[in-house]
Amino acid sequence: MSYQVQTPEASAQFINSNFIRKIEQGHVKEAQDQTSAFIREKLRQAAAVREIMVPEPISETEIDRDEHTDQPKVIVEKEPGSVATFVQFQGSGQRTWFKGKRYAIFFGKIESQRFTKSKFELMSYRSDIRQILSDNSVNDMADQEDAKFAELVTTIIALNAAQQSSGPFQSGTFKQSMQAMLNRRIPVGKMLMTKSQYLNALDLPATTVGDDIAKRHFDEGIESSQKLWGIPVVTTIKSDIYDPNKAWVFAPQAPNNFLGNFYLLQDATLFIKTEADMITFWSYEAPGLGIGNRLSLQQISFI
Amino acid sequence: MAQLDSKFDFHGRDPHVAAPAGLMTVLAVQGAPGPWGTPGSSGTPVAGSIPNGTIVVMNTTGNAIVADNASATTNAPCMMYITVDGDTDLDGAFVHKLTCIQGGTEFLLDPANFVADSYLPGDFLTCASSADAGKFRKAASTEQIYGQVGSEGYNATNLTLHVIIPQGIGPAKP
Repeated sequence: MSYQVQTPEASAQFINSNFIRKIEQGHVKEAQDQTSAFIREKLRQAAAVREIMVPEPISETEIDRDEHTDQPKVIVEKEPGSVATFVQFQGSGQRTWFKGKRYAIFFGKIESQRFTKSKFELMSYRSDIRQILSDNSVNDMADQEDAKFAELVTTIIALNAAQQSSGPFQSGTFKQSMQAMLNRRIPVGKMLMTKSQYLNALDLPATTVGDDIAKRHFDEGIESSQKLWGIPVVTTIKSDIYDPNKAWVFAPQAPNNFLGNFYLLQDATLFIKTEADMITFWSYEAPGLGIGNRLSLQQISFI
Repeated sequence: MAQLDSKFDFHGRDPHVAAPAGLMTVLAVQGAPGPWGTPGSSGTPVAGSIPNGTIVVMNTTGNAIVADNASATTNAPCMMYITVDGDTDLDGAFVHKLTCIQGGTEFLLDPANFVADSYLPGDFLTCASSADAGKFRKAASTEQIYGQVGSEGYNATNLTLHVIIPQGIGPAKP
């Protein structure tokens, strides 16, 4: 996930002076090396929810106002229900005073830690620690997006046993979950699971997936497959956020949106300020997301 | 000395922009409702019930609960917080967290934030109980002091109450 930088240019240049100076002096290779000089402690990843529900930036003209608060919201209209019926030639269809349901997307703010450092201490770092922290903080915010989405999904699934499937990691289990969706007249869009769970696809036998796929998995690993049974799979390393023993099947957002909405009042933004010898920076964003169709997802619990 | 291995760090937040001397903290709401709380609901996040100006305390899981003077959780000594951004508004309904200030600031309270009474500047305040939980009321002897009526006292025109909230855990009223 990229992010904007909101700062007087001089501040960013100052913080990165060591980095920039090397580039200006022609030491591009050395400067590139600096960005990866840190020993990583854990793998960070962009938000999986952004692959399930595509975030849409919205402007102030698209915000709906409320009589009782000055906080922003977006009201999303839902498809109204309708029926048709056979009648005799003198008969007629039922009357209806139609109305379409709506639901609202509210917004919150995700903010990283506010990082502060003295420029004198910063001089002792050979790597661009600001860049590392900035990049990581954006992915930390992505974790919060995923946590909110996982919370939402868990809440919805808990309400309806019909949206819960279970079984071993094999075609029959996935088929059962997709059939459950289709039996509710909900199309299947994407699947979501952790990478560790996705690795179980390596065990799918050649008699099920075919020799070519089994051989490719053996030679190239599971990363060579982006789909299972034709359904795109979104994988995430975030086993601490998404239950690694589960997978979820979601309805698509396009061409028709059966799922929900993910809006951004502002996407991830890095703010930097300097006061005398103190440098402070942090990242923030203002997302809002919701699932407008409760029946648009199915959970698989692997046993 | 391995200074860089130390886990000591700052952990507070920058002050609230309107309360620069206050200790601001953010607490999740215990038992907060969520969207799709019932199958028939629309998907709109469900608002909570803690408005701005409510006194809350922290339970043993670190979540906010409304301060109730009848409850052991608010018996003195107890650290109390005032909610400055509750979960009745849209952002609160979405995130179900409260932005709270522990003390070090002054407020004008809405009539919904305090028990009706005759308040004079200097009166000591504590939190009320039961149906009035989360509201301010005058402190009786031995009850923990949570604030004091400020110099502007009760404004009979606007129906507001000016209060000063000190930081820390207040003593019992003599």
